[in-house]
Amino acid sequence: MAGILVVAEQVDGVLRDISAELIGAANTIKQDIGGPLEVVVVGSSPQDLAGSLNLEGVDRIYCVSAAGDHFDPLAYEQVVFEIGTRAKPSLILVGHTSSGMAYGAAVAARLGSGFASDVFKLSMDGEEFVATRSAYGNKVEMELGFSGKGVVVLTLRGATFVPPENPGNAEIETVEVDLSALEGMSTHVEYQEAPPSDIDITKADFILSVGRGIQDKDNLPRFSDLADRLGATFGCSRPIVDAGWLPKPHQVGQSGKVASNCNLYLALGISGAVQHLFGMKHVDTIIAVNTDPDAPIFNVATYGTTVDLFELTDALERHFN
Amino acid sequence: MDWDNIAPFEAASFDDYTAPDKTGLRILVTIKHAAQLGDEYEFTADGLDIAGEYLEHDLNEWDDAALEQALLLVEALGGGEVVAVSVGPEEADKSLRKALAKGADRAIRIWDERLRLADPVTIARAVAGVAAKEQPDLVLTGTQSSDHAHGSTGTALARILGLPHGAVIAAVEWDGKAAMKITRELEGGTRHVFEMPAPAVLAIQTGTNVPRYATMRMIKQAKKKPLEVLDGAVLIDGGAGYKVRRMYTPVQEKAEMLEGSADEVAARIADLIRDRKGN
Ligand SMILES: Cc1cc2nc3c(=O)[nH]c(=O)nc-3n(C[C@H](O)[C@H](O)[C@H](O)COP(=O)(O)OP(=O)(O)OC[C@H]3O[C@@H](n4cnc5c(N)ncnc54)[C@H](O)[C@@H]3O)c2cc1C
Ligand SMILES: Nc1ncnc2c1ncn2[C@@H]1O[C@H](COP(=O)(O)O)[C@@H](O)[C@H]1O
Repeated sequence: MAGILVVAEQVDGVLRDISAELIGAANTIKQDIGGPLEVVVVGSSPQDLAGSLNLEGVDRIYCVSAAGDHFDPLAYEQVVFEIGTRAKPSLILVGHTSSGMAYGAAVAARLGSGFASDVFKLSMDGEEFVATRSAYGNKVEMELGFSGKGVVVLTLRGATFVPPENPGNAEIETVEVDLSALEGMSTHVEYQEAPPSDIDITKADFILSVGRGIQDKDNLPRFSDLADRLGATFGCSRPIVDAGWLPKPHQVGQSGKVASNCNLYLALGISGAVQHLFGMKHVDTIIAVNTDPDAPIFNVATYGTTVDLFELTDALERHFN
Repeated sequence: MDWDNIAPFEAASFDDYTAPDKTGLRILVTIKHAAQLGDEYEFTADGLDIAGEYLEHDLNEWDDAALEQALLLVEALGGGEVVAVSVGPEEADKSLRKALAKGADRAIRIWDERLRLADPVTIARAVAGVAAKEQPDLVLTGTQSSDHAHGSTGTALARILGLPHGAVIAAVEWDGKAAMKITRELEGGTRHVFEMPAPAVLAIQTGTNVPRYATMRMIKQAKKKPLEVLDGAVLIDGGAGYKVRRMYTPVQEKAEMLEGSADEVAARIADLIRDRKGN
């Protein structure tokens, strides 16, 4: 068994951070597996993206031209299949992103390979790969094996693996993949951004966020008032937006905004799902309020309490009167 | 399996099952009776899972959204049949009955005790076996299951069935014919709108709609709707993506817990905020 193939991710011609993270992940296991670390990038001018992918540890970059830069799951599946057939890697790494979720498992199903998703740790036990991922709402972990599989496809968790710092010395190769059979299977229409808003999670230095623990829309004003009183930006978890209680710009997390400039984050009634943590786990001081002592938010928080969030809010209101 | 011996995963064959004749549009919706871990828990003796008595189950949140989308589509298109499919033990009937109460027409459950640790590929092979018989016009799954969050079953299912597919789908426009306008959600909340053909497999995201509640009357009526159980034995040894080696509670650094009454804890938090923000 030898070789790793990383599939780079881009949206509308712009490379995503996950691409370099996947290369970083591959480097953690490259020596143990042996063989080259190769990267495939697909797009209208893939050569333009190859430079940023030429990172430490990468031996070869395959540039595959496609009609456009808009993601099509069937095209990605086809490209990975064809490059795989040439390069014969024993490990294929894809991002556990919206796009990665749409084709990683399809590649595995097509090959009959080993497969696991949202993996945050890679290791080897003798000759066998071991992938580690979360289970039961991010509360426990499971270790997975792939015996009998000469190829394993894994989708890897974002904002988890460290990208290489130094440039690499990769060979850059242009490869033709015939995608004409897939014409009409996915026709790009447009991208839509959330309408502009006066709140910006990415700029806020202090955020008070509420989650499903606040129970009812009618409770919302209390918490937004408290945020005002504390001088905090009012954030929330996804279910609050899904329910229509707050507009999208308030959402912290993978499909919301990342709290990039925040140094104090107060989380009320948020469990700590992977996608929420994506947006805030890096914050310097995190204070989490959750009645469940096993809530995974406590694994990233600096301070925690299992006091009921309504009682705590009553008391905090008195302190900031 | 290796590059010289590619062995695509295949749909289970449920030879004894015959789907009713199609009388109109048919949408298949996958339903997981998803588990939630309580405050206290223990692992099974083999160390591969949580012991059943520590788990509480309910209809997976993402499947509630997928079901709602299916019901909205058949309502808008003036009729059609929604078939709910689950891989799970007898308790999973609870979630299937919930789906029937909300408006699904029929339910199918596949099970074998040896499927307790089934991975997304195995689940996909099971559902594909039913889909092969039902020949639906559209298949809707959830984006992920709330317990294990593989985010993979729909995509594996689509490939096994050879159908086009989409993941993290936030909107579906469809007139019941060959083309659909689909919106998927990307990182950062950007929405990507595209067109694709039907039949297809779409993995629906929460927030796409507000799932309906079932009234007492609907729950009562659902008791009369058909729920068929298929033997999952055909899935055993038929190929899977992974095997669980062990499950465990990670040892990790945790937050410093602030103890005391709500007042005392609030005082500590107030100090922390003032210390860092000077207000
Ligand atoms: C593709 C994708 C993208 C996603 N993107 C995001 C994202 O950007 N942001 C995001 O947040 N989620 C995102 N999610 C959803 C995510 O998986 C979770 O469903 C969500 O984060 C859960 O929100 P929550 O913690 O508020 O709710 P829950 O998980 O239901 O947690 C509520 C918590 O409140 C606690 N609680 C209840 N009552 C009280 C009380 N009285 N006092 C104190 N605590 C209490 C409970 O113990 C529980 O832990 C995404 C999911 C997918 C599939
Ligand atoms: N045991 C199951 N039975 C039926 N459907 C399932 C099952 N497990 C997963 N699914 C479907 O696949 C979707 C994605 O689940 P997962 O890949 O486990 O995150 C879920 O939202 C369900 O629609």
